Amino acid sequence: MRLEVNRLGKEFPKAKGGTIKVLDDITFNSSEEEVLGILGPSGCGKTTLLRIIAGLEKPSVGEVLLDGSRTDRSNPKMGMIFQEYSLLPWLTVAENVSLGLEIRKASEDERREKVERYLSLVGLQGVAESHPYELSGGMRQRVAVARALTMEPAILLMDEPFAALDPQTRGEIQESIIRLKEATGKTIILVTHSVEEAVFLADRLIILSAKPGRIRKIVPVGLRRPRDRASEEFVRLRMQVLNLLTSLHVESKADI
Amino acid sequence: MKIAVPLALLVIWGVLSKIIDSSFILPSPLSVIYVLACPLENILGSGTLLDNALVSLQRVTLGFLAALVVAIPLGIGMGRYEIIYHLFDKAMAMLRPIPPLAWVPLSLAWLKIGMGSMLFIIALGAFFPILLNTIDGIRGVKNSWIEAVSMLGAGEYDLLTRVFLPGAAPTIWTGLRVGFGIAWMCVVAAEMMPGASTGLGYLIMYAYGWGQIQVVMAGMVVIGLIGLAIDLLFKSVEVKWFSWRRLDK
Repeated sequence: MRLEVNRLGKEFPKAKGGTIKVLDDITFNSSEEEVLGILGPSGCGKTTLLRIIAGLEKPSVGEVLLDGSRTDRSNPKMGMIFQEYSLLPWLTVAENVSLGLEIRKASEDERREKVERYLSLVGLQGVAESHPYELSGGMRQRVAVARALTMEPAILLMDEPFAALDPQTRGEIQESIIRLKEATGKTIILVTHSVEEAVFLADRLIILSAKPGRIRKIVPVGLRRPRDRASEEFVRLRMQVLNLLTSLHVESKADI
Repeated sequence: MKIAVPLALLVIWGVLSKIIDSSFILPSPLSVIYVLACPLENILGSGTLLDNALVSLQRVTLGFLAALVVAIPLGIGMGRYEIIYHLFDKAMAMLRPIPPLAWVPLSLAWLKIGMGSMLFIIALGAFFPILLNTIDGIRGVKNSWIEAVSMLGAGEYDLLTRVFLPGAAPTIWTGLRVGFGIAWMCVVAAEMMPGASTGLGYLIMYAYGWGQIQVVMAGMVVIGLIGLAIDLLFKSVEVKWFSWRRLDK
């Protein structure tokens, strides 16, 4: 699966007329099974970039190509994990997970088999008959991951999926994302505002500057897994990225 | 505890009826209870209390269903699609303040005396609460639900049946509950229109003509009790089916 983002730009209309440019000339490729972290100061359009890749929004200029063809939201090769509240509260966990399969009109056997397989892959066998509101935030996000996986997407897009979780749960779910990537060999594109999370999870980091969002640097992480957050090279890389982000943040403030 | 206020009202009513001492102004509670206790007795040749109540219930059900089959699809359309909303919004906002009773002359002119004109009045009463709540419910569906399900390959039809309808269902149900309550008020009013010869509304007016105020009040009590029972029915369904809305924060 080859993902190409070509000279992507996005402008939004302003309330008082005119437009505001949030993304400018974004170009990158991904052809390997990798975890790609997208980092940037607030207002750099990282979520917008992810939503354009998902097909939830249209770019003003440029294009996103998946194996050479343009993507749209109903492309089953893309799965998306949202920040929160993406599970349907009136359905049970199992019904939520099998939703995409039902829409695709998969057979009952296939649905049952896949719901079981992906729920156990994210470590949630026991809660199939529960409702989302009976689960913790971390469990809900894992259900959302299982639901996206049933569609067997080649690329999994994650929009700050752990932002609302407490630090401990966050650590656990980060570990499970690594296991997931190793078990399924998917490309994962992760938008986050946590440098530590990005350095821990990603193979490459795309660092955006703000107003408008431009690619400032693409940083290969190159740390072996399992990664030790306390190791010297981890800390050094984290500081390096943090410093870069701080300077970008100062820059974006200076523009105002 | 729950029956303290109704019981107190009953006592005050009893005392007042003793003081006033005129069955034309305020009949005693006992005389009203006596009428209620014999629901199968033909009252002054206008049918039994039970038959008249059943006729009213049948009318309200038909009128309510007629309102529902128009209001829910229109509400979904107006809630989901801006074009449909702008097309109907102003017309609906203008028609809504007109009370159903103001339509009585026109409904008689258009639909003649009888079932048709009565159903028209009843349906009008139920229509707007159902419509407004359906629009509200559809608009209240979370964008994150819509986007998440569309990422699973859902088309517009899937979104309507799997996200919009179930997501809006609790609010639509509130609309149905309020709408039925108003329809039930309208049925009594419709049965007081010229030409009516059955129903609780008719019974009340007929008994009034004969000076049988205890029958008038018995009819009123039956209207209140049936309204209460139906509201409880709606509420119990709400608790059973839509508890997710309360629990999901």
